[in-house]
Amino acid sequence: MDCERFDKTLHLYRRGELSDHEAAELAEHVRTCRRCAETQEKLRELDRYVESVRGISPMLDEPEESTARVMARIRAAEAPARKSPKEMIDRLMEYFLKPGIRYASAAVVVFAVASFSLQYFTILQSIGTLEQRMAATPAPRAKPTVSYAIETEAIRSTTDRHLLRTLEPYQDQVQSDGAVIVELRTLRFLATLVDARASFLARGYMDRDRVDALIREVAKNTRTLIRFANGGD
Amino acid sequence: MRQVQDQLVQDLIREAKAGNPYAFEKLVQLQQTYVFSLAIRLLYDKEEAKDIVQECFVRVWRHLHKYDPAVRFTTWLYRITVNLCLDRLRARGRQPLMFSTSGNDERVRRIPEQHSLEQAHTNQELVEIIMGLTAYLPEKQKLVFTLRDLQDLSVDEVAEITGFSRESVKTNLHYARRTIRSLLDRHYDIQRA
Repeated sequence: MDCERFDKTLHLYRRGELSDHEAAELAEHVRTCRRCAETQEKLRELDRYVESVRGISPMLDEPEESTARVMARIRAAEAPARKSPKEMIDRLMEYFLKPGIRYASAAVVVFAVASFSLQYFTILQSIGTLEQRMAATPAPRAKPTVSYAIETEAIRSTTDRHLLRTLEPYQDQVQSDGAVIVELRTLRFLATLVDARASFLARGYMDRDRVDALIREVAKNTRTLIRFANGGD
Repeated sequence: MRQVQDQLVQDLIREAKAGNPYAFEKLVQLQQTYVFSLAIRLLYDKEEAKDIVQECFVRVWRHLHKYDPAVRFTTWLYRITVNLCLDRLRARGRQPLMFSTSGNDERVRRIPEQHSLEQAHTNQELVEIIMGLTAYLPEKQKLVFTLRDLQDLSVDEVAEITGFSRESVKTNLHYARRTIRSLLDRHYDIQRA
């Protein structure tokens, strides 16, 4: 009966397969059971036999060739990603000529145009609102609410010559006074308009003079704000 | 030695992940024998084992970004190899051969002599010897026996590669060894008779 119980542990004879407790129990059983002792001896023979099989490692005939073939397959698999620019454009054109993609692309273009138009009208509306508010509101006398560093960064972040030219005369003043109110909101708005200008011109939505006139208008308002902040008229 | 090799392999993987194909090439050079030896022991076919080496490393390259350095690279490599080999075996329908319950004499006849082991110089001779031991084992037993007794991996590594529990690995090992032992017993009985 006990022999059946030890059948599994008898077959787990290699290092790390039995716990110390299991190994001790098995050793005790084998010491008193002739049949299991014989089985254990046969298993030792099996282990020696398998060990000799394990000792002979199958070898690749031509390892260099095998490596070269692997690398060639990888390069071939990677190749589509390295097509020439002309091939890539051709593939892109093929892609866009598919009916579904064509309609989807048209929808994206319409959406983009609509977004630009909306943005443009929003800007115009904002300019109007700003002008109205400036006309109605007395000059702000409050202490600076926005640090000079941020403002200067905002100024520097735009490369538009109109904006720079407009604000340039005030830079010294700003530095010497150390505190000038420039309503950052206005400044950001101006920067947005300057960015928008490039887009408008690039797409031919507006005439260059019209855009520049708009910029000048907003810049003038900004200058007015600065003047107010400095206690000017 | 094993630690040094593991460290070298990890360095090569890091380089390969960064897009260095030469590091990957070196990795293939270092590791392809492991893949080949496991594949030939599972498939008994040299040409197919060579194909597995190719497929395995292409797969490794594609999935290298998913490799977790916490796992030994050879464990991950063996797992891919085992999956590829099992796919092959199932595809070519060799499975019925492995589960065959008939032809006991044929099984016994296949067991090679101890002296033939000493003379086994070619892969083909070795394949014959391994086939004699494992060809008729059920899939799980054959897999566990091959990984543990022929590839000399630990029980934990076998469990990690196959996805079996430690206990399941030991149970399958027990059955595999018992079957092989009884085949050897009968073989030597026949030889003596």
